[in-house]
Amino acid sequence: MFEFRNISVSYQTGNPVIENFSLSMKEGEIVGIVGESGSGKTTLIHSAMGLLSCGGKVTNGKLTFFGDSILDYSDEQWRNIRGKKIAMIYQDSGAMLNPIRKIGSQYVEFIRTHEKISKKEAWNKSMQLLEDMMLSDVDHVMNSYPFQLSGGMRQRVGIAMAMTFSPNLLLADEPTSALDVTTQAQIVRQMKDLREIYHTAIIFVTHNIGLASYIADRIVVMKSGKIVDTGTPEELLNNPVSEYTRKLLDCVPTLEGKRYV
Amino acid sequence: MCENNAILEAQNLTKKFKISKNSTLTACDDISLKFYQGKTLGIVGESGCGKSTFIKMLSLITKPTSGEIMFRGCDITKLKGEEKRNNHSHIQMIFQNPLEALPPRMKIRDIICEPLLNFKKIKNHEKDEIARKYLEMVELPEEFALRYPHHMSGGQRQRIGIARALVLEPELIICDEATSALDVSVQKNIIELLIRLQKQKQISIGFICHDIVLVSQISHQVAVMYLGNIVEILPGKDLHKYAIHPYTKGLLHSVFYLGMDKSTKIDKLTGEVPSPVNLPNGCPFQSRCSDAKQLCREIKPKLREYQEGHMVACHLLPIDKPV
Repeated sequence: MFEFRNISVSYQTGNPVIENFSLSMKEGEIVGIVGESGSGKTTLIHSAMGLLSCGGKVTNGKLTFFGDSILDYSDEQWRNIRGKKIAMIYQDSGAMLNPIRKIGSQYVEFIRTHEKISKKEAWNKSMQLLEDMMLSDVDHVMNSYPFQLSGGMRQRVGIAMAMTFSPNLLLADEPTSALDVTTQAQIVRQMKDLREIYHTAIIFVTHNIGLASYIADRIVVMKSGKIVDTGTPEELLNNPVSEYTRKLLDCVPTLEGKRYV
Repeated sequence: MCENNAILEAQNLTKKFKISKNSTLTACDDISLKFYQGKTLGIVGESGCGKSTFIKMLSLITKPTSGEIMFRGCDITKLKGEEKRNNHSHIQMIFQNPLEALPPRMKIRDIICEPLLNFKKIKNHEKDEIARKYLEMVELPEEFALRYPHHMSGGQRQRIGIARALVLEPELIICDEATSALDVSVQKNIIELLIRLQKQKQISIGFICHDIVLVSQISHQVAVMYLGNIVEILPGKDLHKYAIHPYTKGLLHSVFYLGMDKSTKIDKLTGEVPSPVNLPNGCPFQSRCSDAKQLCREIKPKLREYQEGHMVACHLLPIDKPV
């Protein structure tokens, strides 16, 4: 469905940030991308959205979405798929939302830029989606400013907005890293359910390999813009191919693991 | 554990912020904890549970509403002026974000030696030598003395933060989420460094973190905080086997560990932490506890000893002996 074919991305400095990256996504598949900071995870998914910043460019390779090469898309075509067919969840949805407008008004605007429906219908649609995300007291949420909601609630609003048009592909950039562990567990479960309901393929970028092994069908380990390891969580945990993955696994704190004191 | 080794003891520390005429925010409610020499006390909890307020009181940045902090037998909350300033040299902090905690326009050498100069322990011309000694201690090359913080990576900066905390030879170091902003591999190195230094110098460490797994790995004792209260204190060793408070268990169940069975439903805590403004009576955890009874809504449970070195505050557990 979606494919990165041998892509390389570089910014103005010229050195490629991502080199020869290939990954193909099936419908309804969850792929976890794991790596440390600076490994090019965020650049990768920004390239899939056509949102590379500061002179970033895909210098090599192809991005295909249902067979179409999306790199050749015009701005108009991009606008048609962005937000509708390919959606994104950011690390902190609070930063994505406009701080001086209420959730409801932003949500309605978002729906109406993509679809020709009345304000009333858009409002009801957003209420329904927020309810599906298990937010209690939806009326209150719609009439709040982003800063009045907790981090977990804001993230749920972000996910609800991303899922509005049941996208084929959802790009999640560290969606739970800024949350508390208990909230993280709730959100991760909900994202797993999303796949069941909407059959959305998800690229889940995270630095938490334990989390990736829970949610993903396939994990890709990245280091300095290259794939160093790939496989199902079981394969990766039991027989990591690369030395780097082994090291990474070794660094993750575990309950039964080594004690330092 | 031997009572005499407690170097710092918080007794019934409470901090309340008045936010308007009728409402008070209770950040810390009646907290009593002890820090022992050469041992690590881990404090876990979600954001907003009062961890940071608690350690700010310990380092005398915030004044407690009530309660005492006994350091070597004297109540440091009563100190004023020069005495209070001198006390800072015994308790040092390491912060979460080293880039914000290090002054951007000072060279590493000056940053490391600043505390010593403040307390007039060294002369200006000795700076170079001392900075190099401490850089070596935190395993950084000596040339770093003349660099600026923005020349370094996150892990290296955190090492500078550790070096700065160590120069005054403090007895207690408090790490406020010191490794949360770092990658796992860097986190591991920093933890190993901290533990080695602790063993060398017999420093006590207060380790604040939201990652219960990490805390249990490096702490002798772990205190679990919820909404300004300590709900459980237990040994770090085999924490997951002995934890009995429903909140501690909930935290443990929220952790994603390697090789986890995917079909297992995560036994998650529902809801979120309620607001600490105008707390209701009764147990702080009542709104998220699945077994909460009438008693829990009326009376707040006290910390009671469950086993040796294991205290828990919950009405639902069969404990006879109150402390």
